[in-house]
Amino acid sequence: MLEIKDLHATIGGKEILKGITLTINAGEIHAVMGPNGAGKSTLSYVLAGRSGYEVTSGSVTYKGEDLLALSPDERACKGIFLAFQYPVEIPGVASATFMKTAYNARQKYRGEQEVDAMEFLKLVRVKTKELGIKDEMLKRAVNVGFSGGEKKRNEVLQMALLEPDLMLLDETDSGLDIDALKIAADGINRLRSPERAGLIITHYQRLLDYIIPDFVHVLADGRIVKSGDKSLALELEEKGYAEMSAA
Amino acid sequence: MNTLTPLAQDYLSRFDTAIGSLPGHQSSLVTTARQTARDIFARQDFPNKRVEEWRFTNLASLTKGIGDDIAEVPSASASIETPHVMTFVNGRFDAGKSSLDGLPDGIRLTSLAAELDAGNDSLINNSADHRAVVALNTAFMEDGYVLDVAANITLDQPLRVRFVSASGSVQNARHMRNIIRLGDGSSLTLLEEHTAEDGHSYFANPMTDITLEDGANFRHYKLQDENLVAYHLANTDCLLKDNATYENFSLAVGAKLSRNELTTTIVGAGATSILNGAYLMRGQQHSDTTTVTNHLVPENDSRQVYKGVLDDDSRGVFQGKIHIAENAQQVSGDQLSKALLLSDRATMACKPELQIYADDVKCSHGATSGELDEDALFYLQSRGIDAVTARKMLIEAFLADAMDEISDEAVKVYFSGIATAWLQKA
Amino acid sequence: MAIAQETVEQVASVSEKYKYGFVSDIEADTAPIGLSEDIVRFISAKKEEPEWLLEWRLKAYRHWLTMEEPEWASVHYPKIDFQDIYYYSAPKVKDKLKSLDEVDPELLEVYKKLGIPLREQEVLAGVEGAYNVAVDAVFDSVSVATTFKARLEEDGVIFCPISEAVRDHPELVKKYMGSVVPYTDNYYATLNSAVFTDGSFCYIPKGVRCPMELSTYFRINAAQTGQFERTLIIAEEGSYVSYLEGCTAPMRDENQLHAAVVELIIDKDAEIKYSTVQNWYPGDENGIGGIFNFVTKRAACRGENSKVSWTQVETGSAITWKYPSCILQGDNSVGEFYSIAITNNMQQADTGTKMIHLGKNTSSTIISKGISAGRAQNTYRGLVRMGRKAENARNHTVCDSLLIGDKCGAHTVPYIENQSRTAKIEHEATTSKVSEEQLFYCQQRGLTEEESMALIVNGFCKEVLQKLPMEFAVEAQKLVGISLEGSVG
Repeated sequence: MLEIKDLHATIGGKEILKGITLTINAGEIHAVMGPNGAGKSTLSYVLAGRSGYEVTSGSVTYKGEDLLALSPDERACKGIFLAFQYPVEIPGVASATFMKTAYNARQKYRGEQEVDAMEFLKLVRVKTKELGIKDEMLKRAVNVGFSGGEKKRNEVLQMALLEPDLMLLDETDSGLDIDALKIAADGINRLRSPERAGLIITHYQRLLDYIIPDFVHVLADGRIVKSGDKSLALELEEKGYAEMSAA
Repeated sequence: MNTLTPLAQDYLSRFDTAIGSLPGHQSSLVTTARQTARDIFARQDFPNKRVEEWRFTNLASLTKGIGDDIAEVPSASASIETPHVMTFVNGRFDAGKSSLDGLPDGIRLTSLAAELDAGNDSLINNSADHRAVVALNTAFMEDGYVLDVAANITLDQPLRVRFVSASGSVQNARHMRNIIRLGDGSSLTLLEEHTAEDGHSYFANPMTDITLEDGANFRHYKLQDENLVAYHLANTDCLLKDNATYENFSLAVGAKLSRNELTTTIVGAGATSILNGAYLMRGQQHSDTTTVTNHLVPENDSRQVYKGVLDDDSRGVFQGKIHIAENAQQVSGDQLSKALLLSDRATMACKPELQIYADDVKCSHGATSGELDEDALFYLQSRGIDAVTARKMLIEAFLADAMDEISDEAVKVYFSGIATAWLQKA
Repeated sequence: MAIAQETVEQVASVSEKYKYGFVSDIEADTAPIGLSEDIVRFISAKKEEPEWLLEWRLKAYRHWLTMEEPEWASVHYPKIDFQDIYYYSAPKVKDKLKSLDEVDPELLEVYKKLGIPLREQEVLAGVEGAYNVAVDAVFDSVSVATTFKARLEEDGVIFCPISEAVRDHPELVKKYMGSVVPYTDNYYATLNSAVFTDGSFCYIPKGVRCPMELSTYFRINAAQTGQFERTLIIAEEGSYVSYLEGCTAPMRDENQLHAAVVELIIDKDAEIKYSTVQNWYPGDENGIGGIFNFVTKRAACRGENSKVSWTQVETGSAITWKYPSCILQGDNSVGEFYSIAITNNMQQADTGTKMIHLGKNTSSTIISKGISAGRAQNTYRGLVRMGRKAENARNHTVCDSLLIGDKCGAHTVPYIENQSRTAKIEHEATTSKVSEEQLFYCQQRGLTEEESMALIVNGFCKEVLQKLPMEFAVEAQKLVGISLEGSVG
């Protein structure tokens, strides 16, 4: 589904990603772990197409297509979803409006029927129920005045609604207490299927107790220094990043 | 053409004679500067209410000619001790009332008249300032202080400059020109006081020109306590280079009519302009605070907090313009003006203005005007505090926001003392 | 009702940049070009006006000759040649009309194209989602049709072209016209007083709640023609009316002048809600053409507990110069001003309000949202004045500016004058930009950059959009998106 080849990327002239190669097939969940400053968030932003990140060499192919040539919204419509580490506040725009607009953008892109407000509400209520999110949140402006946990849950809700093919989770566990973490993980696990893939970016292996990855990669100084299965995460937890990176 | 106001006519008719005895008359550069300024002033006269920048401040009582009013001589209500004092009496440097010995190396504090007469005429930049009040100052400047600080000099205790109006004055106008330059990385505090020991009416017209080199940090505190029949029209211009910090606090309690105009121009990244002040007015007093903050380059900040307390028939004016030039990105400019009206006849006019030509900026201004909070007053009273004390407490609390911004502890205590004394007179 | 809901779909559905830019080939009856006493007399004669009105016009014209064009606003434009404008242009009428059915079908076609329901039958039959609103259609210099007059008359509401009111209700016109905006008021209002050609007249009698919204739709069609309309609304004691106005003009590469005067009189316990969606042709992206919109609007809250609410969405015009104002004379009277001003490309707007508090316990609210994009300049200019007798008066002002791009300007120039100790004035203003993060977040969820921008800007304007009547709110939201086209990327 996703093929990253020798990806180099810079921010403001400073090289952050220094040659990442990674293949993610449908049905797989990959976890990328690494210390702060390793380039984890940069990787997710480059994949989602945030401006300010310049790809200097390498390629990213998504479903056989050059991903880097697409605008962020095209990527989203083609099924890439980034759950932000710090979800952004948008004053004055109600969450429900925001999500319906996003939902219909995707429907339209796929040539599918757009839904009206009533239908949409039905759709979203199913998801909020599953995720234990109060409907009242839909009326509030996007992420404005949300607690850290609410913001993350709102991200998972959007993901559940938009049903992406490739989920990018950027530090989704940060700022969540254990109950919220379980709900979030549960939401993500629901979406796991042979057609979908996921890339979980995390500092701690805690989240991986709830979302079991197929592969684990260690990212250090802009490169993947080690790859393995679930056991690598536990090993990492035990030994710490310093030792693993040196290896 | 309209005819000039009587005061303007008086000035212009005296110019040719006066210029021969004013300091720097030997210098053609100074003479040309004075003549250019005279012409600018002659074309404009004193500003009237049709001039947008002066719509709230009417100079008619001044421009018909300074009268023979005599005010009670105010007694000093608070004091401050500083090792270095420079005193000007009736617009002239008075060495006898000054103590400038022992200034650290690298700090020069001298009299402008002495500098000009010694041929140091490059102090006067010849740029033709279009402001009438500044032009008048340039044409007739007679003295003032020159503060020149070398690089990397730090002085903790404030320097103090006093402008005193005393009896025996022959002339009733003072056009002081002050020039300040702080070198790279220098840090200094200056307390400037305008007071009176005599009750005659006069017109004070100080103009202060400040240049802060890279990383300089200048704390500039001004007390305006002129007698209650005096006029005070002051201009302060400050140029800030990279990482320079200018902190100004102006406390105004005096004068019949005063205007404190501050123009800061930021031409350096990382620079910060902080303009704060308080004005306490009663009787027929009029206080005008006008600020213009120019952000010309990216990445710098400005902030302002002004508090006014207006009693009796007094009038307060606040005009504050924040101008952000095209390409001056990542600038923040904040401004707050609050006025408290203690009497039914007191009035306040306010014009906070944003003029923004760059998009990546954060700017805000707030302005409020109103009376003391009745609920708070009642709350204090219900705890056993009498109404008069409660009012004073609330007014002091109102002023504290601004006063707390004074970073020099001694000056903060001094100014708070003056404010408290003002409140006691109520 | 969630207002921003449909925005993005609507923005996407409207492909034209300025869809009202068409010119209609309507035969017109036009006065000779230029301005003189003869033209003033010509207009008055065309309207078959009484002598007193002609005299009033002439007084205004003579006063205008002594005035100078104002220069204090932050707008720049070439000098207007007042002799190069047609002051009167009316669609040719074959015979006197008896009913709407006899309106020139070409004209009906124009209004159909503009989406304005002129045929009562259609409205009543619920065709094309038409809403229950009475419309006065002003085409160039004259009113061409007014709907629902009979229904309104049942309640004693008078809604007609002002020229008709001069004829049928001279006592009302004579009493109120010029009582809020005197003919000496300002350069453009004085010009209007001399040459106004039509406009709407509304009179809501004591105790009547107007049974439907009243609306005037202004259209400039003829070239080189100025539109000078005059609107007068009188709300008697205890009455209520909601009035809407919309404006469009063809795309032409010349500047056309629109100088209107609107006077509102609000009696004890009465309320007027006045909404505007101003979408005059703004000129092209290089600043060629577009309407000069110099308008004087003022409401006098004369009685106790009277209330006026101005809501405006200003997206059109090359230059907008207007300050809908409230004179709060009656005790406890209330003035409100809600404004969205969007300028893109080379547009300039200098707009705001005046709140003059004279009575006790008067209160006013100002919410202004200015959006500037392209090379446009957007200025909020406003006055809040508390008079000596305005005991316990209140004002709260919020002015927010949003900048899109680094070549535009946003300016805020409030004047605040307080002469009342017990009055409370609060003013706050902010300037910010649409953050990259917000845009990216929306795009990441599948919206295009322009859709994202429209969504965020609609969010920024929401407080004001909510104040519009439903039907207008939808149109206004679309406009917000369309007006910003080409501002990103």
